Amino acid sequence: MSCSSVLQKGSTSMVEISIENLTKHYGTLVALDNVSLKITSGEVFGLLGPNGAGKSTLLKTLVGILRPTSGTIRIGAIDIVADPEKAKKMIGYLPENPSLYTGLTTQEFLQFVGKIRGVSDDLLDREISESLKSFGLEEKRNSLVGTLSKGMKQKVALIATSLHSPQVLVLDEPLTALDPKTRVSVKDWIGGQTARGVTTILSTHDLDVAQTHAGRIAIIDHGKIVAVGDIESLRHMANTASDARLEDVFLRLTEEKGEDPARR
Amino acid sequence: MSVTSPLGTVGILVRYWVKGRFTKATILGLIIGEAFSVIFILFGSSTYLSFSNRVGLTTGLSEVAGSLVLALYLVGLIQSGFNGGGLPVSASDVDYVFTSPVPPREVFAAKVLLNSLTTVLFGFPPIIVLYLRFSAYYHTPMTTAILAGLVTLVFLVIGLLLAADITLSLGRGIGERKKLWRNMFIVLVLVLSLLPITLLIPGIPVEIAEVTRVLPNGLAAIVSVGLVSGTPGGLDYIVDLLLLFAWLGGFLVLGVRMARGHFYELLEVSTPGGEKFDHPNQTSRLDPRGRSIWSIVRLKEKILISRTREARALFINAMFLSGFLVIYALSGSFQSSPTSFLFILFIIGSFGSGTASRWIEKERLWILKSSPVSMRRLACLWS
Repeated sequence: MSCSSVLQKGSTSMVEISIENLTKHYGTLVALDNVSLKITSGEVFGLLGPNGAGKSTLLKTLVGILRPTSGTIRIGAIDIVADPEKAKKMIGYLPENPSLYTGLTTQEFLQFVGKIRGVSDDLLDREISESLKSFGLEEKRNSLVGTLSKGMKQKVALIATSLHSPQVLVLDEPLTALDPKTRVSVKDWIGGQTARGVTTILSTHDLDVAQTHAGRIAIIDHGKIVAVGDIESLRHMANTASDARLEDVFLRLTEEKGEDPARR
Repeated sequence: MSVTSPLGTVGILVRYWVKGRFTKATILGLIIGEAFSVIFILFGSSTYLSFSNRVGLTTGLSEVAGSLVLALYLVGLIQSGFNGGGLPVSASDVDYVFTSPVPPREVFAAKVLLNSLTTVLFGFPPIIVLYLRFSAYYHTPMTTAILAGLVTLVFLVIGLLLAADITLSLGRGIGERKKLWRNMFIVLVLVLSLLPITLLIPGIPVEIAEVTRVLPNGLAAIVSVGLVSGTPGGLDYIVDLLLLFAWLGGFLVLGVRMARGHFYELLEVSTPGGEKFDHPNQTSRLDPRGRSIWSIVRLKEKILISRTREARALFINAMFLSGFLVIYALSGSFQSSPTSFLFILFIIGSFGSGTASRWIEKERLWILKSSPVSMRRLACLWS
């Protein structure tokens, strides 16, 4: 069953994201080095980079888990450091490997996430029912989350991400290690959110997904943004052929920065 | 969107955390654990009381022993606090609570409440058994055992708050020098806690032991032992209790004040099978060239033990026990009794079982299980 139907709940008010001179240090390690980005309202923005490039740090800073060493992040007009609670209300975050509360049932877990995000009980029950039905998880409503398969857990995590109808979505590797059927569900879900006008940041190693869904893509390496633009401008920056695949563009742009990330 | 009050949010967090934590299997495990701890308490207290009866020691010794045991608990929590474990969080909390609009102060309150509830719930049965045993020995009413148990539980909550406050304080500049602070603080608590036992050394002035009377462990021990032994205290107990609650209130206010801002990065997140190394970029000393599989496994164990915080935390316990034994050796009154030797042996044995339960191999056991090495030979090696 397609899961995009439940997500056609009407458009959401649009919010832009502004990141200025963002730096994050872990002791002596510079994880993010003066990163600046502007993501326009309703845009799906791709974030690519080798392992350890700083993608997850950037996303964790964006959603308020980490605090910037310097620089600012604004969700709409709200500074996430100055007013984190207000900013977090607007964000839905899907972690790279979501750690669900495995001792709760699917229903309990979703209720918990909805309640701490301020969703009213009536609306929450309706949202949970519709979402579970849409993802084909109705019969798992009373199963412990710990007993679900990886694909099912990812679907539950997606539902949890959007229960409070966020205006901004931050998705960290949403398709990692999923079977083809679940990947289709997740892609449908992302498409549904995009159609609602949700501003989305999509970090992924799946270059096809980035090329399909993202209007613009940023490539990050060694904590720095090495290129930003649509696929055409990235090809231009990388001096590749006009029909070059994103994979070739990505490799060219990250190779130019220096060493092979696998050797770091 | 509904607007939930701070108390409502704390209630939601605690309710679902409790639901998520206590599955049928964990409850069964905890009941078995509780049963073992009750047996441990009964054995320990009976051995202690029979020894106490034989050598004719006063309740003062019980206060000292109680104060020492409680101090050991404090030392462990101080260590944990400096390592970022004062407010234990899971990866699920990071993904779903820290990214929610719940203010940090409410997360702090909910964590402290959950830890306190868990401690009270699972600490109460063995503690009550201990005091009931004492109450039966001293022929005091059972209500005194319950009151003494409650006083001890207040102390346990003070310990949890202290650990939480230490972790929060790491964000206020202590982080850079945290090892120095941690070590100084632990040594100070160790030294102060061991002072009462100097009473056993002939010729040591009583005033030295009195120093600990104002510390939470000393206060809790004096009031609890005094209640179950029927020692008349009256106003003194009330003053001691007020002081104990002043510690509780002080640590609570301090924690709430420090939890106003973002503190999530200070916390140590528990991940399944995760190691807690002090230095993330340590290089390997494991050189397998020319070595047998046995020497490689042994070397790996040695390296891991030297690097993991958990393993080194046990060293603190060993230090505490060593101090205790040195003073014990200097004192005269204990040495004639074989029962006291058994008691000490039992304490040392319990440290050994603690070490086994914290075995660092955990989830990585599959590496060895899937290797061509026989588990029987490995078991021999580890033993």
